Amino acid sequence: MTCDQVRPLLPLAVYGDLTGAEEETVRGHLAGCSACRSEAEAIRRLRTSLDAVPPPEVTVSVAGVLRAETADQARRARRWRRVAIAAGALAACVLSILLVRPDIRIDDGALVVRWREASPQPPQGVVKVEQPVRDDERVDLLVKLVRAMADDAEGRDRDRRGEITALKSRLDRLALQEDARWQDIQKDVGVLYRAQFARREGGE
Amino acid sequence: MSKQPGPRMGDEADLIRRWQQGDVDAFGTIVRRWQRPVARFLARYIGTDAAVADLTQEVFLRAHRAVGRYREEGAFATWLYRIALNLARDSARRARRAPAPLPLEVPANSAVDDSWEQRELAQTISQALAELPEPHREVLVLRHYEGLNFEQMSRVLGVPASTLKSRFAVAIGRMRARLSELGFGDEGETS
Repeated sequence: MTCDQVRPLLPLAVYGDLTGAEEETVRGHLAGCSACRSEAEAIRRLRTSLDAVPPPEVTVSVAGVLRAETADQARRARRWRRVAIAAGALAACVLSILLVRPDIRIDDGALVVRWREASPQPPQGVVKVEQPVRDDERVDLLVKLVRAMADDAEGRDRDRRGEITALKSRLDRLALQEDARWQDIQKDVGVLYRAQFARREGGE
Repeated sequence: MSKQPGPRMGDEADLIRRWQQGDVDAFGTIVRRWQRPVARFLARYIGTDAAVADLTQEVFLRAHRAVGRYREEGAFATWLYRIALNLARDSARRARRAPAPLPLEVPANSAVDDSWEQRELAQTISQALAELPEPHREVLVLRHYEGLNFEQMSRVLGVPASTLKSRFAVAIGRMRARLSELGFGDEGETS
């Protein structure tokens, strides 16, 4: 090993951090190299000098740590309480909305929301707030709505039935036309056949 | 100084278990055992005694909060030094934004030789340490002052041991060069 290879290992050698093989190699080199020996000696002196700095005198207050931890826990508990209150308030809002069950629908191109007493004149614009409806009125409305839907369905059914009937009659007509065409073809074939046959018999 | 990484008592695992179960006495014993190594590490790392007491207190507060999650059997030193290192790094970052701190002041009633020259050497070493780049300072402090081996340091710092060995050699070289510049060539011999 050369001096350049050994020098980086000297601090580790002084602190006893070399592996057995490395230590053996370094020791072998130092035995024959006075420059590296004095380098190692200088590192040893540095190591001793580093201890000239006395450790600071510090006493940790266990009671202080426990007090700080308790205060922290209280702070965390307060924070969680605030979060819980906020979550509770949100849940209450959602629940009350569900209980009040505002009637939201689109009427004449306007979004209608009904949940409380409305102003006499609904505001101009998209949203109108109307008087709350009683249950029987609500049922009437529902009945009307269902009837309207049923009428609508019936009307559509009627239209569909008409379309189907028209299609059927058109198909029947097509079938008749097809039959007529087939009979014409059969006649033509008969005529051609007979004409062909008569020509052969005449030739013989 | 090649010391073990802090006190290693056979009953430490038991103490930690009791601490995890809320035994305040066990926590007190751990604190008494580890407060000096932690304070020493922080002082060497941040280069000033000013904030060491508060930071050491904070290390044990964080350790106390996190002890429920501690699972590293037999690696308590690594775990504790990691907490201390994170705090020291944060503190160093804050210090970089603040005016430069004075070098570590050596107390007059230190246990080591109290001569003027010795105190001056101690101050110079503190200054040279504080001037080392952070990665070199970390490895030198953990190896020399805290006695961690390179595998333990690798776990604390999250850096391969081979890299740390190179950094350590560089750190030693830089310390020698800086001490020489500051008038302590050949470490301890005033040039």
